[in-house]
Amino acid sequence: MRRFPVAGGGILVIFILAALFSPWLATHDPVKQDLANTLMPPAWQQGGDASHLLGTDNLGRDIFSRLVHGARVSLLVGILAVSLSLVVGTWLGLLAGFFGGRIESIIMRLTDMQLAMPFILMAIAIVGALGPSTRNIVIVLAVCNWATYARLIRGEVLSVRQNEFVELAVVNGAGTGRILFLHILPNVVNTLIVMATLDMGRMIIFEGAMSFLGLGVQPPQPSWGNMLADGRAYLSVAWHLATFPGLAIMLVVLGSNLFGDWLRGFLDPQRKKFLAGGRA
Amino acid sequence: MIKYILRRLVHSIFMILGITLIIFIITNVVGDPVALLMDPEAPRQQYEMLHHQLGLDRPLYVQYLMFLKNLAGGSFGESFQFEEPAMDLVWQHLPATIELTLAAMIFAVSVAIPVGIISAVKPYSLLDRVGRLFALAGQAAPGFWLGIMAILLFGVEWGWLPVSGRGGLSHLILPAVTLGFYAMAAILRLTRSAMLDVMDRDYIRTARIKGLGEGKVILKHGLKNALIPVITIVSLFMGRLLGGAVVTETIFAWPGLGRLAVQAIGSSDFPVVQAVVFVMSVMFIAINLIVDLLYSWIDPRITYS
Repeated sequence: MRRFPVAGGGILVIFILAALFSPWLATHDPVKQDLANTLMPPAWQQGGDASHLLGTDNLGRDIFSRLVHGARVSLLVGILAVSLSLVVGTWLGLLAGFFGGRIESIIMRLTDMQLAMPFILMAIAIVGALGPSTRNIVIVLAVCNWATYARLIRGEVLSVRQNEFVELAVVNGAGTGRILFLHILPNVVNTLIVMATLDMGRMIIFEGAMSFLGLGVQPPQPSWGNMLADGRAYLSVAWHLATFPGLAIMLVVLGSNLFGDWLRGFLDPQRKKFLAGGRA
Repeated sequence: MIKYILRRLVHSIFMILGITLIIFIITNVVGDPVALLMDPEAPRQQYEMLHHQLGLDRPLYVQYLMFLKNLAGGSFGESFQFEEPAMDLVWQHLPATIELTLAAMIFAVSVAIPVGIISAVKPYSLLDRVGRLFALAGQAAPGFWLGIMAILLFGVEWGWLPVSGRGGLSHLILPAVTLGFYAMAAILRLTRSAMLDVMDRDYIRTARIKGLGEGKVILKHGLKNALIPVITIVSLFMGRLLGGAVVTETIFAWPGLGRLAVQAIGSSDFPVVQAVVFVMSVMFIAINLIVDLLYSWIDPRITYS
């Protein structure tokens, strides 16, 4: 495993910076229409212009600026969704694993049911009822995703619980909360981090899909997903509308997958032993 | 064994009941069907009337029971948009989705497994490297974008393949490949690693020492064992493809359940949304059930407590 996640980390850093600095990075206002200059091709093609690096869309809006602002939306939704589902899932997993009994049964039944429904369908059902919006998309993504974390955490809690140091803590009179946070959670954090990183990619794709279907981020606010939807209608005359947003999604997901893989290797406790010269 | 089957069956039925509850809660409790149906300017009286008509003023559990009762009769009510029973619409669109999902699976498996095997048998060869890169990209690229790019390339630029609607085989190719692509990438990676793992085992060396030709070693001894985790993942994907079909059908205007659901949401057509979500969930659960049973039959070493 290489020491630094050059590829994955590099990609992610670029996009995160783009998202953070989008108002300064963007060359134009992403929602400003310019009906005199619609469907301009990217700068390097004939008919293109350096002022619109990646061309304009059907309403004359600059694609590069929309892409950069879309990075903000997509990354934000992704991070929020992952964080929310992680927090909820971890809590429920901790409770289920530690207390067992009825609580565990109920929580596990819930996870079963949530995992039994394909994600998109749940998302459709919820958005169908609540109406499409950015806030609702984050909620939907979190609701559809917490079960994986809950399951994982519960499993980890169950296995860690057997360990001696937990028994020792109990014997020494440590309260439940203390045990949970000081003993169990640190062991579980590594897996959580890796999972969350890999999950980011998934969430970004799902947000893209939902926005593409018109169920997520609403226009005129740019999201990579709804840019794709716009671009679809103009495929025969303008290839660039649909190509760049999708490319962006793919790169971010690739970055987070690569980074997550590296992270998994990096955080592996066996690795530390191996690096120290002992046999893994 | 029989006990296990019965237990799984009961479990699945509970799942389905739970799903009806979830569907009910989401559409009737969280959302407000009447508000979405009516013109916001409409007088209070009309609102009350529709409220009563839809039975929304009865206590919740009564509504749920009414819902279940209708469901048992196979009815989800009438579609707001099409003035046909919602279930009828579902039955009409179901075959298209099944066709697409099966085609996608066949594509994924028939590409992924051979390439995965060859990749493992000849590691670091050109095919291996290309295949792995392909799989990595395939898992990162959003499926719906690949579909659109495919339309761009094969439909617009080169005009080889039709890009919308259902028809003969040529209409099926692009949607099926788009839908199956992610699964293909994942299965490829798994097949490769499973084969690599298996080929290292002692019984492979034994087979070789015995003098068996390499082909037989790979296929008869290696593949059979490597297939177990692969089968697991293939069956897991069957369910996921159902979900993915929603987006793919929208892109290619494929007249299946997914597209129906999206259209229904667009027009706030609740009965149809409920019907589609329910049917697709049941299919999903049924697939998982069959897969679990198949799995415990294939690998008798698995014991379920």
